[in-house]
Amino acid sequence: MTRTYARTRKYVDRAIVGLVVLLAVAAALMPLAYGAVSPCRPRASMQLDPARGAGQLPDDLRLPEFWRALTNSAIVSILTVTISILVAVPAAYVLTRSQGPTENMALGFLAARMVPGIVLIVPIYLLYRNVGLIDSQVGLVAAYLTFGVPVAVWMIRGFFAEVPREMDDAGALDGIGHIGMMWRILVPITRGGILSTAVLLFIFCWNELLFATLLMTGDGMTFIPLITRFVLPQGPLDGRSSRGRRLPPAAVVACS
Amino acid sequence: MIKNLLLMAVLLRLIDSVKNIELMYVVTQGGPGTSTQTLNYFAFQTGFVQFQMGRSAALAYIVFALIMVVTLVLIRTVRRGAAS
Repeated sequence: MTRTYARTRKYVDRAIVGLVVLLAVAAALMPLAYGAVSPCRPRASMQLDPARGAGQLPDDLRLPEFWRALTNSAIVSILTVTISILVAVPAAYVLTRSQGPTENMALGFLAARMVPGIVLIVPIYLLYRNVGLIDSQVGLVAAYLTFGVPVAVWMIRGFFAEVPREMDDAGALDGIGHIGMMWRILVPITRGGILSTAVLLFIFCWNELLFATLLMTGDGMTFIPLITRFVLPQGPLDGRSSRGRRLPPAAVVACS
Repeated sequence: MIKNLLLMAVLLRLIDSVKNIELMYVVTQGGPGTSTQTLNYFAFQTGFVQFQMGRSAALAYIVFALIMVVTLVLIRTVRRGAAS
C-alpha cells in the first residue's frame, strides 16, 4: 500500500517538475519559434507586388549588404575573441599564481563589467571621430576589447584557480618556466573552460548592438545593426528582421 | 556556500538589466513619450539623438555611480551576514 503510494507520489512529483520545466522552456523558445516561422510566410506587401513571390529569403541573400555585414561581424567577433583570450591567459596566470594582492585586482576586472556601455561610448565616439576610426573594423575591435578582456580574465582566472598547485610543483621539478607552466600545463588542462569563454565572448560580440550601431555607420556595418534597419517606425518588416535574428544562434551552434 | 554564487548571479543580472540599451532602442525607443525611458536610455538619447555629448557623459557617470553604490551595499550586506 505504502509502496504504491510512494510510487504515485514520485510520478506526481516528476509530472509537476516536468510541467514547470516545459512552461519555462516554452516561454524562452516562443520568440525563437516565431522568428523561425515568419520568414517563410509571404510578405504582407505580396498582394501589391506578386512578381516578388512568396519567399523573401532568396531576395535578401542576394543583397550585397547582407553578406558584407555578415563578414564584418565575423571578422570583428573572431578578432576580438582571439585577442581577448591571448591577453587574458597570461593575466589570469599572474592573478592566480603570484603572491601579491591579486584578489582586489581580480575584483577590479569584475568592476569593469559594471561600467555601462554608454559611459564608454561617448568618449570613444568623440575620439574615433577625430582620429578617423569611425566605420573601421580595428576601431570596433578595440572598443569591444574594453569588455572582452575583463570578462575573459575573470572567467579564465576561475578555471586556473581550480587547478591544484601540485601541478605547478610537478612542472617546477621538471624545470619549465612560467611560460611553459602556462602554455604546457594550465592551458591544456583548462582547455574546455577557455573554449567556453571564447564561445561566450563570441556571442557577446556578435549580439552587441550599441557600439556597433554608433561606430559602424557605412560599409563597416555589422550584422545586428543591419537587422535593426529592417525595423521601421511603423513596426518591423516581419520576416526580414526575424530571419536575421535567427542566424546568430545558428552560427553559435555551428561553432560549438 | 551558495550565497556567494547567488550574489554573483543577482549582481550580474542587475547590472545587465540597468545597463541594457539595445532592447529599448529596438523595441520602444523610450516611448510612447518618455514612459518607458530609463536613465541609461535617457543618457543615450541625450548623446546620440540630441548630440549633447557632455551632458550625456555626465548622465552616464551618474548611472555608473548608482550601479557602484548598489553593488557595494549588496556585497557588504551579504558579507556581514556571512560573518555573524
